[in-house]
Amino acid sequence: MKLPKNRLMVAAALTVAAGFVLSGCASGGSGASTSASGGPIVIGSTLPLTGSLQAFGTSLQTGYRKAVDEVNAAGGLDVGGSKRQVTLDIQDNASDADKASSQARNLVLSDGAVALLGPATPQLTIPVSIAADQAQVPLISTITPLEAWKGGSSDGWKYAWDVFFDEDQMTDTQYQTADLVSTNKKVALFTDQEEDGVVMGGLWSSKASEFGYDIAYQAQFPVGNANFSSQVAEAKASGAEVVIAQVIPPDGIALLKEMKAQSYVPKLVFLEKAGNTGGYPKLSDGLAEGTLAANWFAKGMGLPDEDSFISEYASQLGGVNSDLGTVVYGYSIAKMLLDAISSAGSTDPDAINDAIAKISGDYPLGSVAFGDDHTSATVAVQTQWVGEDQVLVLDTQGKAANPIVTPTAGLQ
Amino acid sequence: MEVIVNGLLTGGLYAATALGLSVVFGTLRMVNLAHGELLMVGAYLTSVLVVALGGDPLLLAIPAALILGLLAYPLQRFVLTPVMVRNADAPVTATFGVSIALQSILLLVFTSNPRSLNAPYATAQLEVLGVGVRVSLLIATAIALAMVFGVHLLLTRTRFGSRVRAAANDADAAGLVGIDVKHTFAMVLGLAAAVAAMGGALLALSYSASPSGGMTWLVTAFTVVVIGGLGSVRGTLVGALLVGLVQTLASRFIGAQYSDVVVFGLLIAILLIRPEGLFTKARRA
Repeated sequence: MKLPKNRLMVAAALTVAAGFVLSGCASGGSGASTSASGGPIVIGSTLPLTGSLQAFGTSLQTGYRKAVDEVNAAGGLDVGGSKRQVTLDIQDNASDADKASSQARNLVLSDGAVALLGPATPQLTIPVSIAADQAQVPLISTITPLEAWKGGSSDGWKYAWDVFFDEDQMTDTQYQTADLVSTNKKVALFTDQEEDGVVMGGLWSSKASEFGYDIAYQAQFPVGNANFSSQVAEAKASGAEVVIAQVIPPDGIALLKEMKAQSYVPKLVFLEKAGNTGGYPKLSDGLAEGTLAANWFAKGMGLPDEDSFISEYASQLGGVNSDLGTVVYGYSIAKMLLDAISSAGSTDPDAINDAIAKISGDYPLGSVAFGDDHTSATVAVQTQWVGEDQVLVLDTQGKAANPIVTPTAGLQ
Repeated sequence: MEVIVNGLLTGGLYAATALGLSVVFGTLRMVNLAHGELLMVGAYLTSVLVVALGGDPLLLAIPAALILGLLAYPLQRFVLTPVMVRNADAPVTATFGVSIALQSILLLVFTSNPRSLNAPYATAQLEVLGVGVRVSLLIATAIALAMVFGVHLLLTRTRFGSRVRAAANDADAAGLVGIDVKHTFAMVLGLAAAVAAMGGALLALSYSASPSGGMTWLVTAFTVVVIGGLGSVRGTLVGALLVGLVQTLASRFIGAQYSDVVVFGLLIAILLIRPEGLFTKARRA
């Protein structure tokens, strides 16, 4: 029953290392249906229904199901003159990239999916896009910034498509919003070392002078960092009145707590990624009240069906927030895929892929038309947390919308 | 000076979060890979009690610790010890399974959103001799000191401690002299889980907790325990203070992106120079 301590330590080290590699084991069921002529058309999706990206997965699932349910309720999808039911085969990848990749392959090879709907974020969407390209089955994704996604394929994507905002445009919005408030134009940057943190941190840095701002302090830190004491002290000492942070939700709370403890109350705090968590002010015990975050949906953007989505989902999702936006985007890309299958007139993957390339029209997320790089850019806006809602403060034209409350209320 | 004080206080919090791992490591000779999740469960349990009953999170962390301790007892008694008897290496794998199960339960019940415990002192700061000190870290350090000395006294000055040490040294011999080894081991995991629950509440007060956050805290606790010396409760305190100090100094003077490199570099250096850790005597041949 006893282990020598040196053996114990080796065993411990190996097992902890294995712990980094392994991840959650939960998975959803899968249907064994096929898309044989006349039978139901199978559309597959591997989603992060558990794990750290769960919020994205559940909202996308809601949007996908809504689109498919509408088609089925109307008698089915018109394919080559006959109405066919659509089966949505969703599996839970537990926010694990390897699992997402293998599930995407299984959805095509075992479950007979003729097309795929993507997960969210580059870390999941890129491996699923690779799987789709290898299986030669079309995939439409969203909630994945375009530049990071394009970087996932050196030769360009063949069967994978992405609809979301472009990092370059998104990283303008913080400065455009800051221009709406009187500040000393000094910026403190807090970016984690995830791929998007590195990319966006570089963009904010390089664009600061273009917009007339000075990066007074810049902190980079590993994901999961909780101890921000020295970084906040330095940011405060730099006199920065604008904070731009790209952090995961738990790290965002730790950062806000440290800022409050050190009485650092910048005029503007942009909390990207963390701030796109539904109900974030409540989760942070009010600290996130008044923080800002780039967004893909907000009341007042003038998107088609904006009000109907708000009335249907806002109360269920705890307000008008990014989660609601993810439902809208999920619904929209599912509609695009269904339209493409219908206009292709068959379930042949190549025909569907060609039809996706020709999509041009308005969807609830806005106008969509794919370029040669297989992307269709939407426009990021800026929102501010006011109670349960993320209120539009910078519109799609980069102009002022609702007034900005400053300084950051939760830190006062 | 401010960096040093804050580093030591951060280390105090690390001591509170690593103590449970150290106790299990030192007595059961078991690497508890579910320790990070025990911290998270402790934080979430406290949060649930705060919502349900209202009141101060630190006070409600005490019943949360008792609940988690009671839940951990049968886990050791009826799962981990029987596994340990059959195969000395198997409990490590079993605790990995427990870790995954606990994480999944937290995700199912609370979703992936983080939780934070709030109190007036959670974001308060004190000025002591010109140095700004975060009150929540000061409290965490005080509680960590109390827990370290309490556990040390429990294991070295009580009959329970004698039974634990006897069972840890030679379970078969301990059984022959009438010690209920299975009960004793279960009590140890119960104690470690209760201590972990307090640590979880303290970290959620200063920072936040999330269902998937256990691994990060496990790695920190593991580093603390190895540096301090396997099974040394006092070594855990010193290891934690050292890790907190080195991490904060590295963040301040080199950059937070390199702090992990520096901390794990320290771990490797200590393992090379003193493989048994700072506070454990080398094994006799």
